[in-house]
Amino acid sequence: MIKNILVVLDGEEHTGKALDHALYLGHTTGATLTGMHVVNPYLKQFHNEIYAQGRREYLQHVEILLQDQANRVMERFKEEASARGISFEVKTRRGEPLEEILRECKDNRYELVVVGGKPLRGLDRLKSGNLPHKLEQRLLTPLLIVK
Amino acid sequence: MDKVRGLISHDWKDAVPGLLLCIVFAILVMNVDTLLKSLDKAGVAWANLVYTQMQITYVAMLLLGGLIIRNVFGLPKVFLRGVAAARPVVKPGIVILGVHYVWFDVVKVGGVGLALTTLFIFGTALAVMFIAKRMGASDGLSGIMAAGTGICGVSAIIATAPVVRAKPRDMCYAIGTILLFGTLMLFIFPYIGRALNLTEPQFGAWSAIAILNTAQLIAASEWYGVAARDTAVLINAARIMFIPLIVLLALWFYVIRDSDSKVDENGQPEAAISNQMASVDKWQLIKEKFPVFILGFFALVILNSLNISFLGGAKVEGSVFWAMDHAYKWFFAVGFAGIGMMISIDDMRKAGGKAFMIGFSAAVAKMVIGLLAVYLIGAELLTVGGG
Repeated sequence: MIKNILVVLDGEEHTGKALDHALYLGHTTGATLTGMHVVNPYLKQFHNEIYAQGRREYLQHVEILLQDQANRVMERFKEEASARGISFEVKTRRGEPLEEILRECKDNRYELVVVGGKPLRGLDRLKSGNLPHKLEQRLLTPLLIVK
Repeated sequence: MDKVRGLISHDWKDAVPGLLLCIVFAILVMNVDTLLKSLDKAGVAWANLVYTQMQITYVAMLLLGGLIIRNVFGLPKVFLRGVAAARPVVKPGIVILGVHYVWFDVVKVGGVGLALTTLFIFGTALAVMFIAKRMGASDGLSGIMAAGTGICGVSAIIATAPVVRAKPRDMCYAIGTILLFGTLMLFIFPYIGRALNLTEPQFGAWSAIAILNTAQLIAASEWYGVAARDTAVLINAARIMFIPLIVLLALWFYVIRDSDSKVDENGQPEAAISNQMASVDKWQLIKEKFPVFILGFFALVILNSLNISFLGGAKVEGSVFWAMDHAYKWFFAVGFAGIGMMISIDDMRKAGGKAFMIGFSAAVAKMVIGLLAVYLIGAELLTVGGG
């Protein structure tokens, strides 16, 4: 019985498909759909680069962009979920996405996690962090990767 | 008192473990360096191979060792903050090196270097802006790449990003690209230099043109030799003063120049924002983006030129400047340990998109044209005489 579904939203184009699938599943199963966005402060670490000037402006700039992105992703999720009459929740976490998704699944009970992925070819395979693959290895909850 | 407190970051304690790690690593490596050097001098064959032939001196040991520690064994999170904080320890080292120069060096080598870097900085920045436009890159990306490839790499990206309002994805690509080429150059340049029989001063000038990141530039030139480092540090001191100007150029090029016709993401005319930008006090901006510590370097150059007997000189044994000259290596060692351990292959894997092509073209062009330039200028004009 699926009561709680977690869908991970990063605002990337290929995650749109994952959202569609999650919405469909939420609609048909009647489960509560939790949309989660992980705010990744990765770019901030570069502010202490050796000759960096205007560090405060840089940090502010990054923070505003991250907030913008989070708002955009969440607004879209809320809109689409309420349009379909699905019961939903929204969550934002802050940190390294993989760790935060694992933590969220540990802290709360989900029967299914939905993430977006894209087929990787050639150089991309070497370059990509490949989050779905890492999740597959470490996550105990059933996982749906939408490509 | 409050002012002093304001200078110290409130989370300074987080940096302690990483800083200690860098200091311990530096002490260890410096001792191995001394040992290898003495064995090499004593005529031990393997020590000669490692130390002289393969050039595995303290610089290489710290950088390569740091890279291996970080990427093979992994660095526990508690150390990360302090390792990042260890890199700027190079700065006091650079200031101290001011005792190696007299005003004549600044005029001669600094002058040639200044002309050279001005040409390359603005040449690269303008060429990148042009190429980026043809490739259809966004203004944000073009702006940070022009600044990043023109001058100090990631530092310039940090300074420029808020001004040209670069997007996170573009910033990831740009930073990844700059780090990738910087790291490659840092490790490859000294070997290319030797293969081409480049003199030390020429090598110093060449790396000062092509290697963007100051810390990496100092590391590569210190690795090549003392004279290479002296030239590189002086040219670098001149070039980093251009950061504010490059930021201004990017501001003008992307924000002020043709803003009237643009509309931002929310549908509001950008003119409102850019009018605000245009009213930014330019002097204020220059002041904010100016690397103030470099004035310490020039202050020492002036003091050294005045021949004050009480301070002595770098070569006068037992004098104040002599002692300072001996201390610089320790600052460098701790900084290099931080640089090595901050080289993250994961960061570099983020290089990509249009930023990669722009970065690649700029890197290759600067390498080749820079090499031609130092060949044409010759070693003499680039040699630091010292006091």
